[in-house]
Amino acid sequence: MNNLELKDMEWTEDLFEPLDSSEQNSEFIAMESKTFLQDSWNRFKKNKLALVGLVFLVLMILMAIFVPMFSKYSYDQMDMTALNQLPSAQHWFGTDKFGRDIFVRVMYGARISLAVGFSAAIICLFIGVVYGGISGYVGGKVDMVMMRIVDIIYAIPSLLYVIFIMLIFGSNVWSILMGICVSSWVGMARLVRSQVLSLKEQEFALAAYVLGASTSRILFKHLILNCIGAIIVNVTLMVPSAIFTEAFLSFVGIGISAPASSWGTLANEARGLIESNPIQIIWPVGAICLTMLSLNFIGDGVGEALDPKKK
Amino acid sequence: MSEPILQVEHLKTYFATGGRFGKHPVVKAVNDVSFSIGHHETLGLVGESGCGKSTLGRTIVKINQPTGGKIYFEGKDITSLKGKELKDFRRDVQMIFQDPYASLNSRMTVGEIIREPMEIHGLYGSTKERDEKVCQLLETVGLKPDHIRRYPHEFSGGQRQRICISRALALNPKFIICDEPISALDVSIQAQIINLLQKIQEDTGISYLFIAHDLGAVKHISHRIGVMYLGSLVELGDSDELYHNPKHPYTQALLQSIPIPDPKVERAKKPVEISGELPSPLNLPSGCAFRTRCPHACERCAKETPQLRDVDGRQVACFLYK
Amino acid sequence: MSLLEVNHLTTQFTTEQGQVQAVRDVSFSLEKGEILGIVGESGSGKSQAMYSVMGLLASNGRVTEGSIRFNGTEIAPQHFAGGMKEYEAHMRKIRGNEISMIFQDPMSFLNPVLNIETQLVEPLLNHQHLSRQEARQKAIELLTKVGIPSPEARLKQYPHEFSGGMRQRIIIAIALACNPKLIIADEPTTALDVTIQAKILQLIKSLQEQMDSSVILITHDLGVVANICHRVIILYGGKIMESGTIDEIFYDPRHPYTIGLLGCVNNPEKDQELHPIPGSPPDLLQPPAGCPFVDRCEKAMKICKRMPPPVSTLSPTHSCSCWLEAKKEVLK
Repeated sequence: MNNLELKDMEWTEDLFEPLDSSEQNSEFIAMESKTFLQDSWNRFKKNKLALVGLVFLVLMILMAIFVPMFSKYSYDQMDMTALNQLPSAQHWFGTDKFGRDIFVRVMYGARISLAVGFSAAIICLFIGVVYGGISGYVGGKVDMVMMRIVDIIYAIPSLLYVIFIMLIFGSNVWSILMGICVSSWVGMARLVRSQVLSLKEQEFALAAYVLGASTSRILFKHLILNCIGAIIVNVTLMVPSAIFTEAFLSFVGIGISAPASSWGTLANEARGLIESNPIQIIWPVGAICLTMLSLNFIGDGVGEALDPKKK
Repeated sequence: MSEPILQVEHLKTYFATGGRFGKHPVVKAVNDVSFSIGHHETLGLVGESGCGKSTLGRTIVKINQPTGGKIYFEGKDITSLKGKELKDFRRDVQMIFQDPYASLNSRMTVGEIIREPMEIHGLYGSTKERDEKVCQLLETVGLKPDHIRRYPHEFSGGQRQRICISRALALNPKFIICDEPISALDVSIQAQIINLLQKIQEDTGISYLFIAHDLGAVKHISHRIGVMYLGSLVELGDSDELYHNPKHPYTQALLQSIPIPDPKVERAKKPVEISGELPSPLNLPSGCAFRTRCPHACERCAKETPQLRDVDGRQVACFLYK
Repeated sequence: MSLLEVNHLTTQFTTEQGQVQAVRDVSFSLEKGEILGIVGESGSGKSQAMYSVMGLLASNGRVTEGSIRFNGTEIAPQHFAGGMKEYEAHMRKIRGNEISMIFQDPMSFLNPVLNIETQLVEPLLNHQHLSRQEARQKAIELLTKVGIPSPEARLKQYPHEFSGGMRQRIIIAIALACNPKLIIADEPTTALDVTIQAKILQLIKSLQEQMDSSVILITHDLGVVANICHRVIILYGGKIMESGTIDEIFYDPRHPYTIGLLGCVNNPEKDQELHPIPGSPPDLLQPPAGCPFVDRCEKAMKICKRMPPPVSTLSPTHSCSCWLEAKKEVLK
């Protein structure tokens, strides 16, 4: 401030009266209070690609639920008068070699594919978090044994599990789900273990221990809650990989079998007609690609939103 | 002095280094330490980083297991407490940590953080009663009741440390171990925290073990001070006397090294005599651990380990005093 | 001519919550051969002010106003016609050569996979265009100068083989490599134990006298200031509260913040009680309109809340921004 300005002002004694202590507020916090999730959601919203992915995924889920419910066609209803039709007003995606409506079949397939993807991710989440959490927190010999088991599971290719389980339980959705889960929870367990290992030495965990908190309270309320970011990112990336595994298995013919349809079976069926009716393979493959893409965008967005430093 | 609240006898805490197989050297983080703390008393514990002062504090609250020796709290041996008894012990003995940024769970609100100890121990009937207590605790440490819904990252370091203090106080403990509670804070805030802890002591009669590396800060809050070097106590005595008339060469060097906020004093000060740096704790010098840096070291220091002995009303572990 | 002259420096950071005004209207100068202490709490802007001078601000930080004249040339980024590119090119020639910096944490400054020789020789090769042999000779000289025993053997060692104090000595050696005119030391001893701190301070003092360079020492420890500085600036809430020679500041402090700060620290000569400053530092997202210290000040007046105090000159070296001083002038 320059001194000319000071000369212009009227200076009176009352300006220099002591300030009332009620006007002093030194514990003032300007920052708006936001929870971790609000904060992350605000960051997530700024990522346009992730937002597009989320909108697409929500649309896909809604269509998967409602299209087969309200459509006049069902997924296994054959119509021998309309075989291999091109897209039209009646059949938006056309019909297949048995005259079934492809649009309904793709949406029905979305049910199976998305259900497999999400349930696999959720099952792995629970097993992985509990297993990894215990292994990391207890440590010592328990950790050593638990992690060697994980190593063994990891060492066998995941396809082998799936095929093996299908041999025993038959090829249906449940055995595919089981097969995917058996092999992919270990990734989550390793992630949670490493996070818990580093967090448990932090002072907030020690403070909870000194307060007398039980092991499960420390583990779930303090440690797991603090690695929730990494866990969510891992889950969002686990969904597409499970969907992909299921589609792949069905495509090579060891997954879900006709007349039930997943995106993989649809692609497999359309493969035979790829020369005469190439358009039929575009629909299931397109659905897989777009869903994968949006899930990956969401995963990226979530990762950035939960951990702003990692870009 | 009446019955001490805490008594530590020949406490040893060793850590094994390296992997699972073969023989590895041990770090003697705490090596045969004995002291006691009375009711309503503060014992300051001072030493450089790596001297084992934090490990000592952590052993007392049972974060680390002692390798040997005994710890008595209110006359009861606590080294092998389990279950219900351990939980009762936790109600009486609390800890405040060094880093106010790491010691609060960032996903919980201040209210949840301070309420947690009451929930664990089932104090006060309802959440409402607990919240009342939380507000009361926040006011005790100079924060506002409406801070209860905020998250730790919204506070400054000093405010966070005050939240830590109110969490420790939530259980009305009889004894608090303060593990360098002020070293991560600004000077003006350090004095706040020290005065706050002192005021709490006046009001509740609580005892403290106050761990710090800064002798100057410790002096204000402590009744007695212990100086640690490489796992052992080298001097233990009344805080004013120790501060103004240090006996052990290490205490002398430590005091001489503290820069004093007074230019004239600083200009008149002699250069510090102590040489070299802390030897590796994996490979302690024979005899007196300090002899490698001590200006008065003699042959005897290498052969024998000096024990704490009464010298003019305090305890010193040095052969200079007979 | 002063070696460094900073006028009305203002630095802002853009964060998710809004603009943080880290440094507000800071002016000071530094003479040749002088050790200047910059004292403040965390968040006072002491480090950011110096990072602004060095051009080392984080990517969301920007110098918005003011001039920085080093050795007579303007080095504030907004005065470069060629924009940031020209500024960066210019600063690269100055950094490590004419101005060098000593950081708080020696371990994060040293590269753990390179040996000491490589790290010491690098600035010499870059700025002084010495041959490898000459540079090596110079490196050994430097290590001897900072008190590292058997320097030739230790050149081949890696940072983890040195203790904390030794690492800080190496950092100082690297900083001294090109005989800089100005050394900015950001809390050089905070991470060290007191006995080591005393040694490092002795070293900095004696090297400064030998080499006649200027030093800016950023610290929160008034004891360190009393030990080695000639002059000191007290920063609070991004603004200069008071500045003067150490005798003026320690024996005749005028600003309530300076007085408060001196009351918080332990002085065995006086053996006084601790008098903490109540409350917490201001939130720089919404700094107070008047004096930043108003909310914690015992002597706060109504004017303090409304207008920032002007600078009162108390002696050629001593100045203070407080209405208590300004009052005497304006009410005349």
